[in-house]
Amino acid sequence: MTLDLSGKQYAGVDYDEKERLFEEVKKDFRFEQYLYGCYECGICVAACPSARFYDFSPRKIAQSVAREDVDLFYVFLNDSVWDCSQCFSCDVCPRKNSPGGLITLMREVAVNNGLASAQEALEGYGRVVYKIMATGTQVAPDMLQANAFPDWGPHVKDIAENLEAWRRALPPETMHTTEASWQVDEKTITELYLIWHMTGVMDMIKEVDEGLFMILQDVMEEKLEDAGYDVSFD
Amino acid sequence: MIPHAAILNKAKDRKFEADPDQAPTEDYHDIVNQLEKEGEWEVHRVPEPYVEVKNKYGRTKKIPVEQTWHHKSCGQCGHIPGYSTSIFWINRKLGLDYHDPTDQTSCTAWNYYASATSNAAAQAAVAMRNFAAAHETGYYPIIHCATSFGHYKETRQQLIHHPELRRQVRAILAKLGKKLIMPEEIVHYSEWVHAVRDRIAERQVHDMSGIRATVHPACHYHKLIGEDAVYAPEVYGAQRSAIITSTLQALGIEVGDYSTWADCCGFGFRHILVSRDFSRSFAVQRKIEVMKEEVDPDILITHDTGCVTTLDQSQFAAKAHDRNVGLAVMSDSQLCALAMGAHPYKVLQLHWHSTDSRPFLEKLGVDHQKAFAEFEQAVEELKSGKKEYMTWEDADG
Amino acid sequence: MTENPEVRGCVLPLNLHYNVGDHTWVAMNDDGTATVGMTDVAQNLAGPLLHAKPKKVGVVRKKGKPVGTVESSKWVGPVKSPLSGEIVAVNETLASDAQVINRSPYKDGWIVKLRPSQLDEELATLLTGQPAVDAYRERIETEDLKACEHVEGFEA
Repeated sequence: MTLDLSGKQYAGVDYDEKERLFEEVKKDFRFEQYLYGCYECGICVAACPSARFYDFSPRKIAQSVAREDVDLFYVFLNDSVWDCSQCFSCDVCPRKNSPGGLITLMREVAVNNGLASAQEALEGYGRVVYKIMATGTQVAPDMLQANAFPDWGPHVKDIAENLEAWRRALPPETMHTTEASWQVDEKTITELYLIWHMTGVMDMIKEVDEGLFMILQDVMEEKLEDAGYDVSFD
Repeated sequence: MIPHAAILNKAKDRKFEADPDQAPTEDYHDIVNQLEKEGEWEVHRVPEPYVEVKNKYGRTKKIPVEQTWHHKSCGQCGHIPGYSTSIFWINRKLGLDYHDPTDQTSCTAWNYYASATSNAAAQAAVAMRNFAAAHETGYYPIIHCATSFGHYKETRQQLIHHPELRRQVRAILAKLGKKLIMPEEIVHYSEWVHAVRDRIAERQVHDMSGIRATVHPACHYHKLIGEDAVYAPEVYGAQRSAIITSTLQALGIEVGDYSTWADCCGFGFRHILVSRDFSRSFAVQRKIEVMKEEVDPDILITHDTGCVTTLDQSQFAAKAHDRNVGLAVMSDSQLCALAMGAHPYKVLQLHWHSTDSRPFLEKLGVDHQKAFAEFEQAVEELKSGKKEYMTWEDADG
Repeated sequence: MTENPEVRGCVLPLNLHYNVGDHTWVAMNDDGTATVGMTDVAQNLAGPLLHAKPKKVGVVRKKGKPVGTVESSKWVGPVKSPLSGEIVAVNETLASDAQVINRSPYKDGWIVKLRPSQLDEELATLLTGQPAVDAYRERIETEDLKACEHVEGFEA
């Protein structure tokens, strides 16, 4: 799918709003180390895996921000940033920029501001976020279901059917779990919840997926209450 | 195959020698130590005995040998558990004391790179909480996943340069009753494997001199804060990281070079879950097919959760398109364990993989049918309730 | 015997009260309690369930707040309570067999029983009978929700 760089698809958006989001990216403390200035050489594109399959260019993104082209930045913010593989092959940049890092900042701004494009990009992702936020491990054995990964091969069905026994067939004592990747202490999970609370991450989740926020809030507030913390995520 | 040796031989008048004084990047050791002097944090020193390795610009990095705290990978433990199992198994066989913690969270970087539903402060707090937890046990952290590793190095960079971030993280940890602890080195487990490769080779029971392998290095290992990766003049002329390659060569394996060595595998973080056509197209066309055409290896070895996942799981769908696939994939830890005689199913847990490693096992003279029957027997005992778990003793029996 | 109405193969019994937006149903019991569950449309969207975790007995919830969490391989989400009240019973089967919700969303797959605190006011906001079926049809068609596939042994 070709990217429309004209920006006409966002003609209805207030320039002030685009500029506000642009400033939010620049204000991040990491910004100054991610973008010193762009030579526009394209070495990042040569290294980039996403550039081979998507109409995606780390050079154009870095360029748009370096040139302060707010309209173009807004197009990338909505239509491009989720194609990035976050591999940081673009850190090969001779100017020591990190287009991938810049994209991370742009994604955070998109999520923080509840952009529809961010919500759409994360639609299929809810369960992973739930796993990481609630269990302390990001993926789990019980995510291997044949209907979720039919393209990985027939072994997924074998795994799903034998999951409980195959997990007990693992020598490491911490790995007999099915709902999380390893056994995490209750106290550790509580500490993780407190970190999410103190750093405002739950507010970001609320912007992206209200249903997910609701169940996480539920799980976390209950556990924190049991541990003696009076914390609310509202 | 690319005639590596011949090319290097021709260029032997042009020598590249890494000189730390000429390095274009800062030395994080200096700053980490300086900040300790200023009372900003406590440095968790690498315990002795350690092995010194050289990185990209000739600086020295200390790799701990034992008393290690294993920062596990969610993707490994969750989906390819033989990967983590092998790392522990090798430690046990080498008689090295280690700790497998339950006071450990995921680094959360997979989620962060996929969805950005987090921020720098949360990521730093998660990292430092894990490091504080390690310090409390007295064991030194080594990291199982290359993304955790790369991400933690990025976090270190941010903490080094931003006092306000340090202040914020210190305050968060204080509320959890923890101190701000910065490890002297952030170590990837494959660097540990590299450091003890001669000990592994000493205990090798399968002759691998007839084996040809290709190596895939993880982007987050050698591109993210890339100057920290292991380099050696005798491997690729120190133009590329020696990681994994050195290990395989120590086992007598012939490592074949290929033109897309530096390419990503295509994992993508969110792509592998929600845009898988990209991941498998990239993995097959830029990595697997190139390896098969240029090297025709017996096995593909890599050292990261996402890379094993992508390279292993992308080949099945590609078969339907008659692509040139069918290359068995495993981690360096699984390969080393196998070399030392580990059971292919009880330890390597190869039944969780998509690619078929049986031809490779056959080439090594491993009776995989017998081995799988032993595994199935063990599973029956678990299902019938005769045994509750497979123990380390069972895995070797 | 009257057949339950169906929209795109999704069964919608006439005698239940629905919150179409949240995909939940309520059945009023003789003792004044209300049984709550997920609709056939919801179980179909979620796919085979891996976990269904109701909140505990004694928990008090306002309408719209979760009384449970359901998880399939692709999706996790709250079961939002259609009524305010206190949970007085929980379906114990769910812990070992979450897929009972896929097989029998309106009977054996019930999730919690509530003692409602604002019944008259809130029940009036739920739809029942033909109006409920019509509203659901509109949602299914507007959002182009996929037709219901039922597992073996499905009962409405």
